[in-house]
Amino acid sequence: MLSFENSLPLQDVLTMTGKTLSLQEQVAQLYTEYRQDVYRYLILLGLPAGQAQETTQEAFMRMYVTLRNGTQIRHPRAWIFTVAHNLALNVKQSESNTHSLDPLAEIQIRDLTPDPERQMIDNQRMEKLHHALGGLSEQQRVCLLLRAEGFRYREIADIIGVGTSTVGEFLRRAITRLRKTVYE
Amino acid sequence: MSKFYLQHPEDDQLLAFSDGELQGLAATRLRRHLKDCWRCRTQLEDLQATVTGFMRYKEHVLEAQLPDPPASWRNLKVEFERIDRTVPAPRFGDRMVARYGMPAVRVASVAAVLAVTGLGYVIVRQPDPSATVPTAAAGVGEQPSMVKSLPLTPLAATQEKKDTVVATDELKGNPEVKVVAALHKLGADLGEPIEWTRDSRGRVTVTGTALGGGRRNEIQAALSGITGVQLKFEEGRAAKNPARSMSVVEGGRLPWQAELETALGSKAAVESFGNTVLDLSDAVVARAHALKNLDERFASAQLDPAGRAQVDAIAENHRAEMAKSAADLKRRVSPILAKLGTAVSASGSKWPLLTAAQQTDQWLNVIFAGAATDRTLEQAASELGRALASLEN
Repeated sequence: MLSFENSLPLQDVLTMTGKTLSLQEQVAQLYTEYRQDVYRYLILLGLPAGQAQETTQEAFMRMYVTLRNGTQIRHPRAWIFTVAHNLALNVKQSESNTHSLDPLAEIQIRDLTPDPERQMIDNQRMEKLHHALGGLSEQQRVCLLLRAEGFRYREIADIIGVGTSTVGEFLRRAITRLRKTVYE
Repeated sequence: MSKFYLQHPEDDQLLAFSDGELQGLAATRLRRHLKDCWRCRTQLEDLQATVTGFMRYKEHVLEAQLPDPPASWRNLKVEFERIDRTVPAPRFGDRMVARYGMPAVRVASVAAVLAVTGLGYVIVRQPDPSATVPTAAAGVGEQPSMVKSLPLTPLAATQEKKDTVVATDELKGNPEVKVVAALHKLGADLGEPIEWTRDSRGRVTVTGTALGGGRRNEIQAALSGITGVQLKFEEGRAAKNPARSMSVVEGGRLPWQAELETALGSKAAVESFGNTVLDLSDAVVARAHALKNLDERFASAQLDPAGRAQVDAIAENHRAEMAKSAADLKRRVSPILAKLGTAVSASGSKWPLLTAAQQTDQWLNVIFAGAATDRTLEQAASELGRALASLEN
């Protein structure tokens, strides 16, 4: 007869920090740490604030359920962005959703420095960047935002479901476009 | 001009270089070229200035004006508690080893409970976080539109007559055992995205996700003779199980690269050794999962003698194969541990088999794949030695 006791305690699955946090505490900690990043990302994907917040919370619920089922999550931040990204696409694609927004539409260029001379240069540059960003394709913009979140090309590829080399190409086009607009 | 890089690199190479994505010889060549070439150095600085400008814009302009969340953040611990109270313990098929953070589990039971508890979530399936899944708009139990059902034997809900025929747990020859045996024969019980559930009437539904055409045909052929079984294939990306190369580590260097190169002789040897032992560890973990799943599913099941013998034979095969991989792993790792100043412990912990396998895998990942840890190399090596010893208990 086969004999097994409990599997690896769930709290050991997620991290190797040696701390004895429960699984609930670990996911709650990640939730506190990453929810704002995820929320902002979803807003920039075009979700209305309420849906972005709901979707963020749902992604963390899914993480808990997944871990509770014994699945290992080795890169929690990338995992949560992946789930959030796909949930957001579902929300956007849903027929009932008519509230997809252009997150850049409401943005105003504000002074970053009290120095009037620098202010003018800065504002011009920010204005150009703002318009250049608006001119990027959605994929280019998403890659840029995810790279700015610190993800590696491979992680971005997993999050948006394309190949690593495609991510490199999207980023190249995005940066080239920004550079041309701003510096040429 | 550098003899190593006769042509000027393209923008994508410069960007990949500055992002730390270019590795090995390509990075070395480009670095040398940049030393010599003012033009490319200027171009690289332009790229970096663009990145800096974008980051300033993102932080000070864009994000500063995004709307705050309209409500206060929910206390998810309360929701977690509710799940713990209401969702049954994970079952066979819910546990699949998912490497590199790509889970592959079906959580239909959770979906039902979440909906019942009024959380407003419906998780019909979650094979992969990157696969599109129906969410809030979908109904409980609603299947994703991508699902293609290929019933091997008609078991549609409308076939009442047929249902009564297969309505007991004592289906002749226990179809679940037959399914397990058939999948085992194909090697499909070792972490492939294939899972099955059995309803209260003993009917078995087997679901394969994102399988290639050839594999689908094999599975369909293997299960086609079993009565009371429904087979489904679903589209979507399966859990990824990428080959584990050292390139997953930032900059291509492990935290203890120098020490490992001293122990193994070269960077290439470290990479090759790491891949080999991690593959062996994968095999051990897969077998341990398969054994645990068999235990969870059949340990207390009422099986006829033939069914019991079949389950025992499958378990024995898993045990033998696992022992082989574990022995190979220990044989390879022991001399390296010795060079790192430790050894496989004389006696390990009395962990359950799966725990020992997972512990071994985790410490191998820490040492040879750069997984995060706050331990020193000596401590990590010692943990690995203990985990390896525990595999034998």
